[in-house]
Amino acid sequence: MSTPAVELRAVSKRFGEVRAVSEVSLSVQKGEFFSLLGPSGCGKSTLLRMIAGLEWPDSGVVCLGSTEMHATPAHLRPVNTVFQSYALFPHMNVETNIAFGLRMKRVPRGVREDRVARAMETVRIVELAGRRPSELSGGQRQRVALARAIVNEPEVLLLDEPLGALDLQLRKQLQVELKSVQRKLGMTFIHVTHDQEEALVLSDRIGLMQAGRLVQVDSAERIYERPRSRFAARFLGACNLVDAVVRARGPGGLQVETSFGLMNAAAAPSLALGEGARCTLAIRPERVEWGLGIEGERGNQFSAVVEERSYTGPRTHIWVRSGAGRFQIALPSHAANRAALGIGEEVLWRVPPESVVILED
Amino acid sequence: MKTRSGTLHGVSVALLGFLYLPIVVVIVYSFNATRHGVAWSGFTLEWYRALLGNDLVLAAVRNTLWLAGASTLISTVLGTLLGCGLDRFRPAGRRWCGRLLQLPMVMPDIVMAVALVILFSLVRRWTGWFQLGMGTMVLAHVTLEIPFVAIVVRSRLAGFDSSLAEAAQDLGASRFQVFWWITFPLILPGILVGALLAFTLSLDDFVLSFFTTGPGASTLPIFIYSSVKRGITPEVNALSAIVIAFSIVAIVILTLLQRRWLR
Repeated sequence: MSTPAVELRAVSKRFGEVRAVSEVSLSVQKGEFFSLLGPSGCGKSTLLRMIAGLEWPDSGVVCLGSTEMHATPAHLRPVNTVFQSYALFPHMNVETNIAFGLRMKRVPRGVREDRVARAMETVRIVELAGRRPSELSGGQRQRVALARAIVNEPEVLLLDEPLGALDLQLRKQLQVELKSVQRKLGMTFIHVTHDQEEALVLSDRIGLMQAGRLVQVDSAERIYERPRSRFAARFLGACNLVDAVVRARGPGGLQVETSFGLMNAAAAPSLALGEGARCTLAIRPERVEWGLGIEGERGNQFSAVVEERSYTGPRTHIWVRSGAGRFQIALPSHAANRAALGIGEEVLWRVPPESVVILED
Repeated sequence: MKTRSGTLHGVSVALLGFLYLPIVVVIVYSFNATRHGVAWSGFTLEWYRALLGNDLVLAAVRNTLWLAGASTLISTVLGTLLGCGLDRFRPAGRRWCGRLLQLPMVMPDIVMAVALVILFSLVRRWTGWFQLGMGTMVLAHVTLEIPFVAIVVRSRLAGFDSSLAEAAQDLGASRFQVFWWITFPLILPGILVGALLAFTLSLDDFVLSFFTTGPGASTLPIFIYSSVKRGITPEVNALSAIVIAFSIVAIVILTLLQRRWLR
């Protein structure tokens, strides 16, 4: 593997009594779109600011490329940031805003103008060149902020909740554009967000943060399908968490007992759970199979009573009760309609063993 | 929806009239041909012409402008530094220093004037510096003006979005470049308003000047005061009218600046 674009080794930072970031180690590859995901206050922005040089780590090492940079001030680091508030300079027009970084680096005028023009083309704001930030809409400001950062061709582009201030429609549109800009430029992007869907849509890999720690780093798909902790399972979309006790260990996985019956789970071989150990299962609502036609001998099949259903457009969510547990199931709406299940009816549901995830906590 | 109260409306208009009546009288009488008394005996520009021929008046005007200009320049630079410095303080320190700034503003000028005279004479006794004159007047005016400039600059800085400075730093600007390209242009309106305020304060000031002046350093207010002691002359009326005209210009500029920048 080549030198990572960013490497953090045991980086920590406190603010007074609060441990904002604890012992975070991470490496981000060149050209990767990496997201730091977590609830507000989990330290993800602080981590980003330490990479930018706007915050100093108390301990640990921050490397950009192969150079240690934790003692280098922000203006000398080869990174640029897109701020959540955009932080566009109100006394300069769009073009001067974008040219600012190049002017500080004394890039000759001709080259500067070319690069500014190219950056404006990349984010499609050429016609806004002469406007002041106060004359722009939220989406336009976001593009200007992006152009102002990428025009410097940084080694790493840092994005601090770049779409947080925009409405849903625009956010979705700009997500697509952000991804395509990143692909076109082949630049390393490190992106901070609390929006799990945004992280899933954009990222090659996601680092999930909780209370200052990096709790799981995986591809978007793995982090969703194979959460390692309750926190991870719950933070990324809806998830059923089921308490269970290990009853038997077989070659294909574990047999566990839950409040509504025995269940087979395909466990990773590395998981060291003996007989009688307590554990938590995570089952995604959309992984639950459903229906009256399921054959009995396939196992992992339970009966339940429908307690509630809610229609959300493409999907219909159904809450059922199985024994002592309440369970959420998500079905494509057309399937739910076909099944025409009313509240209070008894149904069968089944979950394939490979869709049962055994959590580590 | 506000309904108009006839009485309140009338009272307000009357009060405004009362405020402006003396000013109107001064201006009108500056065009009166009578030398003594208040009888109107016709329109004349004689007194304005006399002023222009009066070397004492011209010297006083020169002194006043020079004093105002010099003290404004110094107090604007120092007040801006002070305002920027206070902004870096921790919140508690900032609050206390803010109060320390307000004290000289509300303290009667005459107390300040006496204090300065005592201080100057002390220093003079040990070092021989600070002979009363233009120099001491400039110093006195600078002390008067600094808090005003600092407070205006600081309030401008309080509304300053610190992420702008961070963004500039992130884009490769050193500390000095951040100040020069971002902070300074954004607080410039505050600095200019502070400077204009300082300038008008200086033009206006009588007490401090009167106490700290020395031989041959008369300003317009001092000149007017000493002329009036010998009875109000039409020349003084004309002079006052000119000062009023200048004040109006200053106020108009101040308003325009504020409207343009301090939104």
